[in-house]
Amino acid sequence: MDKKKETILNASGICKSYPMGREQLTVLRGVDLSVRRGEFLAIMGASGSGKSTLLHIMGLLDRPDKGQVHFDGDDIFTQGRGWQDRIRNREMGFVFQFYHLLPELNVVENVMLPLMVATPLWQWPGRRKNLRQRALEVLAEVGLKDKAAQRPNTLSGGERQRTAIARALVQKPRLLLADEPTGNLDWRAGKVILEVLDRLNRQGQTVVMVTHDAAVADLADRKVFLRDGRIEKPKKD
Amino acid sequence: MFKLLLIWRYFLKKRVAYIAVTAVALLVMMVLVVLSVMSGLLEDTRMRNHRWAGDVVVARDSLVGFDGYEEFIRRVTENGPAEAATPVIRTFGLVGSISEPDAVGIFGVKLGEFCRVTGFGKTLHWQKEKSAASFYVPKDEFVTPGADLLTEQQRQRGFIAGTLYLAGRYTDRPSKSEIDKLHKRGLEPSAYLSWPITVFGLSSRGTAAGSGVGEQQRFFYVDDSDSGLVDVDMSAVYVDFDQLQKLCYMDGGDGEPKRASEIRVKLRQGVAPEQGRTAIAKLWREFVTEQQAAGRGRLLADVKVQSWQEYRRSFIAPAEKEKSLMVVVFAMIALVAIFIIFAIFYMIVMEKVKDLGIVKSVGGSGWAASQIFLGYGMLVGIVGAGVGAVAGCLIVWNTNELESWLGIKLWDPDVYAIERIPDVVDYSQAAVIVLVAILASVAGAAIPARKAAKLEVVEALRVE
Repeated sequence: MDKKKETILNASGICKSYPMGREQLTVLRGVDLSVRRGEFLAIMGASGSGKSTLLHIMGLLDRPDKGQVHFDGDDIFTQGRGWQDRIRNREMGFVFQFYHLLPELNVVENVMLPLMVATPLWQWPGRRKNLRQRALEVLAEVGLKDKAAQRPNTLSGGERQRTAIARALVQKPRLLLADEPTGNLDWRAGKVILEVLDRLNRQGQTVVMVTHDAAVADLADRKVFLRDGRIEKPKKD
Repeated sequence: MFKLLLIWRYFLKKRVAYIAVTAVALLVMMVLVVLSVMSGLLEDTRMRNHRWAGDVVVARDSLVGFDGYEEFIRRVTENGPAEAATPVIRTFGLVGSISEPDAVGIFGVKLGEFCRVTGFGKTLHWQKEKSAASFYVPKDEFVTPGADLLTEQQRQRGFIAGTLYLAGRYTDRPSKSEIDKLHKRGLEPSAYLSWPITVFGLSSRGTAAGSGVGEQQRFFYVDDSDSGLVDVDMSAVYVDFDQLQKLCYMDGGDGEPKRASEIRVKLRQGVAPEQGRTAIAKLWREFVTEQQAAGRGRLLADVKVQSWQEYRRSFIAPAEKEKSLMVVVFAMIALVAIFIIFAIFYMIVMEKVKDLGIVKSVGGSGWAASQIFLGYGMLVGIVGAGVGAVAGCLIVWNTNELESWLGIKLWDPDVYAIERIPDVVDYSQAAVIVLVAILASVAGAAIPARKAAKLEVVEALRVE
């Protein structure tokens, strides 16, 4: 596997806590983590260990209480909202455990959503055909081209997750973040999703995946463990 | 583009959108119908009062009246803002036999002039189409035997009665339908229906004039007037000015100047009502000063110069108050409806907060996400207000047909002085109602959308 070694994303000193009644529940206590270009990184940990929170912070979906995240050298939380929106739209693709597809749109429209967000209204008539073509290509990559016109509620869980992956990939992001992508699927559907992620990584896609399942994490090049809000240091053999 | 797509899909796919559209449509329809009918009623009331009163009225409350009216009419028409002016005597009298008389208001008018100054001619039944209405009792000897028994002097003594009074005198019910029946049964000038009318004359000093027990004269029916004003049509009888002036001892027979109770004025074209009233009031003040300087202004000091609205204030004000009350009541209902629309939108938006999270997770901005719901609110508002406006207009335009079809009388024409329920839509008013409904819908969506758009993506995605 030919992977470049430079860092695409670097999180340092990430702290996050949530209010829990009158108390504050501290989830992350100064996490440091780097993601290298082209690698497949699995973040593991027990339920409630803060791995999803960390992924959300890395993917600009949540803000840390303390700490910094650099993407391609830029401190993402000191940038403006517009810049952050653009990064979420073009540079990062996010796959959720519960798919989060819009039920009012069909499969291809869900996949086109990031393209539509990026395209001003006045450019839409001229670009519509190309953008739809691009969405169909990605759907073909995940094996769902024949389901393009269907509504998400007519798809199986695995198909919905593949739709969500297609949506995450449609802008050719540099970083794909997947939060328990097989957590809501049966073994067979989960296997298909993992094959898709593995294939994408082999094609050069940087993937960061959160999972609590060791078998799933085995697919990754590198695994890190979150315990008590910190990254556990790797044990020396 | 995604915003328009989502707005459209939400609109088509969400059943709650139809509830919101229905709520907005019902609100617009209800307000439009009520305001159109009430505005129509008010406009109708104003029009009828204006038509009967003329533009400006120079009047004295006292039945003694005032002198100098001929000179003032000359001045106001020659040098003032009046196109025409005419004197009127307003007094009270008795109609019928002494044993069973009716008390009525009696107006002495120069009929030709009165019709030029006011719209009185249009309220007449038999002489409506005539260019010059007259109190002259027509000769119709071919139809009515014995008609030529009336002397020329008697023929000058025609009377015009208010329709409701006339109907009430000969039928059980004072109504317009009854007067129609009477016309069909032969109530016409050639029937020579006559009434003894008794009035009580007053000298210029306010003391009883003449015999002191009233002056009686027999008058002949020549027409009836449907002014649409219940108070007038129920109790007014019109006779010739000169006849009444003489009967009331106001004709100067006692050596005092001739008197009238009112001067009705029609303003020249292009003269604004208030501007005209002010100009006439100024002329009147000058006239009074002049007369007083010459020692003749005794009866002129408390004469008022009023616009037709002021003159008929006590009859217009209730309709205005009724409309204001209805507007307030419906504004309160509209507020409740707007709150319901707001509640519906709050539910819609809160239910779709997760969608905002999804849109933001793929790079949509918070503003773009809230625009979806603002657009959605606007679309619901536009469709709802459009449907409501069309339904409201259809109801207003066909309100009389609907009333007949339902078989119920919503407005008694004898009480409201209208034969037809107002069926005209005020389009500027309708536009305001539609605009307010759309704004209410957008406002209903704006607050929750703004709140939802401020959430971090993860918080929005967690909302179930």
